[in-house]
Amino acid sequence: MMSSPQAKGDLVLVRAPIGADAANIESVLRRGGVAARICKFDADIRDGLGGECGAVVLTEEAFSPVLTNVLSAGFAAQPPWSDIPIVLIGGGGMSNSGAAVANRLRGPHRTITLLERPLRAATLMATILTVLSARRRQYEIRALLTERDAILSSLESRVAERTADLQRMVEEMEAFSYSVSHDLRSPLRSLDGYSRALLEDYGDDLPEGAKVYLDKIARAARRMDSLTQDVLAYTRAARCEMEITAVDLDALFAEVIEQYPALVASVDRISIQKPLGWVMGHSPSLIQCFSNLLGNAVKFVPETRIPEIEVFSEASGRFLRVNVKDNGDGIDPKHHARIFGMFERAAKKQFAGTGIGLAIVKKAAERMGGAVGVISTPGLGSQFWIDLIPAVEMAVVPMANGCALPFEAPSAADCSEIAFSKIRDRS
Amino acid sequence: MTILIAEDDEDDFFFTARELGKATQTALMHVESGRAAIDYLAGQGEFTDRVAFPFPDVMLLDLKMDDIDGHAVLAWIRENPPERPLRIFALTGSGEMRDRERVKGSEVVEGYFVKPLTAENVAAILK
Repeated sequence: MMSSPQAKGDLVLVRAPIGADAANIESVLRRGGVAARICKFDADIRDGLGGECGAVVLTEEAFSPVLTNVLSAGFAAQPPWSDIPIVLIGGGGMSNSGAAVANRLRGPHRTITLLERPLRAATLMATILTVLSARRRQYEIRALLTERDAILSSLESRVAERTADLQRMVEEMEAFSYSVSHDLRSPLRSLDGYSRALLEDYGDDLPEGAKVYLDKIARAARRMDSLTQDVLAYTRAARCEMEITAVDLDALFAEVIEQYPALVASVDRISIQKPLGWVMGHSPSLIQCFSNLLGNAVKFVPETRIPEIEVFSEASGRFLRVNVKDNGDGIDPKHHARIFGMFERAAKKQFAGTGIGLAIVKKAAERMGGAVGVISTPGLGSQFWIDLIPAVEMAVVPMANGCALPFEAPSAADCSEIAFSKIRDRS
Repeated sequence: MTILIAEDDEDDFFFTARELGKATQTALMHVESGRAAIDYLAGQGEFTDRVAFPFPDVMLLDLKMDDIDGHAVLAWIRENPPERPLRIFALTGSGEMRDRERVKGSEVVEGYFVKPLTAENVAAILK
């Protein structure tokens, strides 16, 4: 039999110091097609174990404290997949000394096969082939582990690549939406502006029908403009990176009303039951959500009625529920699920709107770990709510001037670090 | 009183000037870039003649202009505070939060208006 291509991994180390034992064993193996290396010294065993070796054949006479140490070190240094087979040839007869040596060698991850003299060549050969076959299985495991490591590391680099791609996409998206919000809206502003200018400056010279057309042009431009804004706002609510921090809802509502001229005009009609409390959320998204809800509350009230809007919060399970209640026409329950979708509107044409506002609220609330809903009876007004995660575990540091400031984003993971750095700051 | 308008969009300048014109006869100076706005304020380049180009009392500054934008002009003003009082109002085509936030931190800006200017905006400017 010729030696197989795996001959290198199949190399058998032989340490048999007495007489012609080593040469005999080597000759049997060679005839059986297995390469063997005779080790004259214990150090040769040590070196051989460090390299690639299929099995070790030892005679009982080879054992000394030095060899025991060499073997122990060799076993300990094995990689996890490896379990080098040892074939021990014992004295035989009544002495049973080979079994004693074998017992001393045993331990976890040690495969010891004991053969006793008188030993036939065929027995030795069959044993060697068996242990080499077991050894080849170990090589296969090694190959699988290597492959797994390669896959893992390529996965890791792919994840890093994807993350970088995503980051770039987010940035491009941001740049795109910024550019759209400026550049796409600019011509619409011109359409609206020139239509108005035409009406104001030359209105007297225009027939009534022309004025109607101009008015329609201006209105279409304004509608396109609000659609553009809302689509952008929706994209932002769906895609933007949300930095979640503790947010004071009282301060947030003050900002919402200050920023939206339509709300400032109705400010007397909005009663806010303070304190609304603190929630964990993305401040710009929260502003977007509540300005949409307040905007709707102001908008969907019939002209014959004065809008009365109440904002209040309450505990709702593990959430803090923020309610925006109006005295409008209310919404038929059959529309309740639908109105939070894109371009869905329950209201009749008489109210201006793009049908995106509530979709934005829903998307943003969900991305902050919350939910939205509505309670409404037709004729009796609507109560829209957003469930948000309360910022209860927030540490509050009293300030000298009496007001309190929250720590930044006190997520559970970095709480201990915050405490640590605070302690250090004092030193 | 002199009002300097830094605005690179021809139509937007028309609307801004038109809205101001309804309320005041004051002189409007127009520059079409951030670079020109800085030159005008510094009285350099083509703006050395302070009779023809008097230092403005009010500047309306478009935030989004190519090359040197409104934010860059504001940064220049912070580094080169004018010797005469100058009231600055920022104009933007969008209510973009990021423009708003950036301007909010700037103590040199008195107001922030989303185009087109309204009669109320003009009243605040002429106050």
